[in-house]
Amino acid sequence: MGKLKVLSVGALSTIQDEGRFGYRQFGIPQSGAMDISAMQNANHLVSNNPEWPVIETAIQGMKLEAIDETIISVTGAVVTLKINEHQVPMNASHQLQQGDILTISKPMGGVYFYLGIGGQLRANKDFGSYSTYIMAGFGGMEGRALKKGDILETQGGKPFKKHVIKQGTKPSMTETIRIMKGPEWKLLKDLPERTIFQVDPSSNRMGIRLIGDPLGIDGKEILSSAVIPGTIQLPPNGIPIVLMNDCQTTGGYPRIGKVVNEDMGRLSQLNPMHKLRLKIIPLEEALEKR
Amino acid sequence: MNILKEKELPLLQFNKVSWDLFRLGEQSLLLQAPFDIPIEKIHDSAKLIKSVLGSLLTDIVPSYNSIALFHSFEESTIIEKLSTARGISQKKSTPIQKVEIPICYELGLDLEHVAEHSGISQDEVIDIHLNDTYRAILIGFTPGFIYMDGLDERLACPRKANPRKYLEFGSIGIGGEQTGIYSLASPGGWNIIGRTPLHLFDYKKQPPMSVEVGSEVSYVRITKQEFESWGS
Repeated sequence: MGKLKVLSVGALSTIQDEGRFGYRQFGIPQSGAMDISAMQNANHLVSNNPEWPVIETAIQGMKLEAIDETIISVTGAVVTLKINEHQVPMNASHQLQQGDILTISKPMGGVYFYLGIGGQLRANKDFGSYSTYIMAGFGGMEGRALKKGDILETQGGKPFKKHVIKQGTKPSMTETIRIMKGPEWKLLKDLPERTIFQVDPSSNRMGIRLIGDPLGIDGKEILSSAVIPGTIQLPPNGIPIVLMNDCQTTGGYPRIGKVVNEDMGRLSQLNPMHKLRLKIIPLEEALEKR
Repeated sequence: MNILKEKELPLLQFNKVSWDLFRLGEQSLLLQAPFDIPIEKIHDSAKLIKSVLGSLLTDIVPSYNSIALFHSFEESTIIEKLSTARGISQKKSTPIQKVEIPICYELGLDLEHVAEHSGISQDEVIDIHLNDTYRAILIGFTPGFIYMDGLDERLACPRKANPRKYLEFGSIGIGGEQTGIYSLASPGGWNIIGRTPLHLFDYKKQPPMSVEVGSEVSYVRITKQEFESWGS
């Protein structure tokens, strides 16, 4: 059991779980945490089931007050965490007492951090998932981003137990993101891995735009057809867009490849302008990693 | 340009169509037919895939000339099940679902614009629109958005340069030569000629949508009063 009140928050805090599956046929996107392993770690630290919903926050920080005793953890992007005036480590479980103030700084490395709360978060479950999809108002906190004054309340949950995990390694100067071939791979005239791309600052939960030398392609548009998170679209300008969790279910640009599932979280955490290379890997390897 | 020698996926013979087979993701296959395949054949094949794969199928997205299927099993098993399923296609296809949708033209935000663009009166737009039947060909883009064909070419009207930030659920629009229904409230750039009071997308129903791809849609005109008292 736990209860937190949001004292301050940016525009980009939402409730997310592993995502919404089985409803693409109705045009409903997958959604879910951008960095699934960080989300699962946040749950692990507070002794929750790995798939339970957590709070995902991008770019900005947040401040919360414990209304009741509450077990929390913060994972993902590197932040500074304070309980009242005391700095405490992220990637660890903490017990808040009634009246404690939890302050989470904006990320200093990475994009998305996750706040795990001991117990099962009370939130809207639409189409089998608690994940918030703001555009259609599904899931989470009434289908919207968190705002000041919101109460985050959990039920059940296990007693406090001290857990710690290691912070993941920092991304290298040029991250290698592994991809498998997509349906329109053959239209490509250049190998994607020859180009070093950078993450465009306009990237968000719908897609990560890249910056770099354009890739050549035969033909421009295809008949609208299915796309999924990880699909790499190549618009006529030759600059790839990697579709992310909130992407639409169909699209009209050639799909040259797909980022392997295992690398999606790492990609989502790359800061604006970070360098990356798209490396095609043999299919068998991609399938083993699913 | 050949980067990696790897096993190409086979051509798939299924439902009397020769499909190119691609991977959309680790657990998703894309069946792609020639671009001029009749849409009925896509809808028919999607139904067949559902019956052949049963619970191995976790989701399916048919579109104009392709079908994406999502599965929870070994890919080779899925391909084998599909390629040996040819016989089933002999059976009679299921009857087409017919749906009547009430429409209130008085709530058509862009009815006047469409009439002006077409050079006819608003009443003529309504007559032409009511006179035709439409077919749901694709569900997607935004949750519950139903793309339909069958629009009389006299009513074609380009999408708005500035999409509206908010359209009510049930808004019925024209975008170029296509027509469609915003089952849920959403932003949108199509010209809205009317609105239906029906909740075509209902969270609480299983399946949540009362129109499926392949459904034949016809409209019945209702007044604004009928719209407002609908369901009460």
